[in-house]
Amino acid sequence: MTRKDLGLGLLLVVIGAITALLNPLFLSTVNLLNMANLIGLFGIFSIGQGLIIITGGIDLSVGAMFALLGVVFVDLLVNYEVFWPYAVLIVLVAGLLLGALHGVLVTRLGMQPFVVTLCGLLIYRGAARYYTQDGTMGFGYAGDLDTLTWLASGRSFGIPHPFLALVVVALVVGVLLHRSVFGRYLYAVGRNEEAARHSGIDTRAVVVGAYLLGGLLAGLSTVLLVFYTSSVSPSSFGNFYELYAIAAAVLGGCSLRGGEGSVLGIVLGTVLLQILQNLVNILGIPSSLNFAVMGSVILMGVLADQQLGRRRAALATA
Amino acid sequence: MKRRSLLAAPAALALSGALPLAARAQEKKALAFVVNVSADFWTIARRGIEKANREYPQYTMEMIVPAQASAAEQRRIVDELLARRVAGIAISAINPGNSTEMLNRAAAQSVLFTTDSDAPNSNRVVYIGTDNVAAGREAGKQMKAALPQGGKAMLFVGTMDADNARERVQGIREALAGGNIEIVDVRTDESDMARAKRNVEDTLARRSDIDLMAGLWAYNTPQIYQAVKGAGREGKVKIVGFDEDGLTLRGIAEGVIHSTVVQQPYEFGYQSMVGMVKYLEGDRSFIPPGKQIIVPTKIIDRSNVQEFQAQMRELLRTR
Repeated sequence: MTRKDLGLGLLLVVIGAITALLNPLFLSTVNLLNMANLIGLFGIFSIGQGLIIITGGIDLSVGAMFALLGVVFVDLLVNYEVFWPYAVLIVLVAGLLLGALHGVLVTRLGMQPFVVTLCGLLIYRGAARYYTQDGTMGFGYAGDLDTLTWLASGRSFGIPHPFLALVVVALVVGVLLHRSVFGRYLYAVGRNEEAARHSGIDTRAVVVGAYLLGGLLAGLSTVLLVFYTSSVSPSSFGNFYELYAIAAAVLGGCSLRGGEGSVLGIVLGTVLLQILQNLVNILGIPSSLNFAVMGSVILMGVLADQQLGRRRAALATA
Repeated sequence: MKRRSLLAAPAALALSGALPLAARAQEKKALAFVVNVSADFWTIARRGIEKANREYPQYTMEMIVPAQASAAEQRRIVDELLARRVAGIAISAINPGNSTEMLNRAAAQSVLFTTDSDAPNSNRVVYIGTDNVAAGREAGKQMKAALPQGGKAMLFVGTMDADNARERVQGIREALAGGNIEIVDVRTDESDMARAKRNVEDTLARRSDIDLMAGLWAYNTPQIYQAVKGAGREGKVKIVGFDEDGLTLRGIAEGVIHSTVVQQPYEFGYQSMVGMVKYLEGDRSFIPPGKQIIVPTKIIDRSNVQEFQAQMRELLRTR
């Protein structure tokens, strides 16, 4: 656990305690489990985003990917009545392919990640809308999908499955990032790609690997998100979700310049964003202030963290 | 220079593809139906337009959906339509109150109808659509029917800066005035479905005294239905909704949702197109003195939901 993670954890505890004091129902089982569910949904693709940011890249296309993969997924299940494991597999593979495409464009053709994924955002959003002729895709007229519904949005031992999925993803990616050679290469490429290349690392393969994982996790998130809302409207589904992911990663200690960040930090960043949205509803703050509350608390938290850090640094040198 | 010519190539290709279309449009008179945002609602309207087009094949009729629900995007679309010299435009203006200048420019150069959301201050020929305040009153009546004993109600909608949201809330408040149902709050989600669901979940976690929830936009009601079911509060929390999302209809069939107030977008599409054709051919008899053709709303509840479900499936079939 780094100092940044500790600071973020402390901020979470403080905000949680204040909210719980104002309304004890914040800590009710129902509310905590609802929140765990949302943390799972948003955490998984935030981790994917974090990996890409660590290499010094960015993925602006995840929200649009949810819309495109989401409409295809619902279409496969509802209109083509594809056996659900195949439908899930198709979505995961499609996510991988889109990730691979981004990775190749960035590494082989030397395009900027911002441009590649911004174009991705526009193209996927448009493709999703064209594919559905601007209609909403939903399970309203669907047949029997009980097993998959349970897998994607059910609960085991009272714990929502998206949260369990996040725990598994965080553990696997945590080991990959913090305990494997590939992980060390990711940081090396993010810190200084040139130096990494000269020291014999195949930097292209490493970067493509990050985009691949990001795509796969976006595919997985699509399946879970689709079952959370049960319908996908191609023009709005997942709008701005890339910003939630980027915010979670940056709050969690990832530097947009690359080379920094941890899986724990990204998860804590996601938790913070979800608590802030929950608190608006639980405390009955007008919905219109939702984003303003989120922005102010994050700004104050980061400011406090920085000031404390500076003072500690000053003490250490004194 | 080389870079620029590379970029110009796809643009030239796109233009050459569009040219024959424009040429064809000049032979036949074109009528456009400009909507505010992509939604199933408009898919149903599209079917109405298709029916009108079958009756009047000498016109080309098309629906145009903006990439974003913004007044600026809609303005660009209208300007392009006017440049193409379309004969008539029916539009669901995103911000009618502040778009009078744009609408009047369109009315000066072609036949302009408003649909779905009216712009009474503009020079539009006629409005064909729902009276959202009246629709709100209908929903208010349904809320009373669902809660004869009275109680606390919570409303959910995408954004409150949209006219139809404000008008529906106004209608609901009018219908409930002086009664024993209290509206506790209106929660908004900025059109994010996941947030729409979490708003309901959080409300259910926070308050055990809510007796009724109403979803004002098409996607709100299905999210209420799912969250209430997820929390096991079916029956204890009554639900009243708007529009005809598949899940809403399923919820009504299951008895979890009391009823929904539906508009008739099919009629918006059909009547707008037929009206514009009549107007262009010199027939103005269909325009009432108030210049508003109100398409009434319908109530869908347990008694008629099955028939309505079948009808919707047929209309929404895309392939």
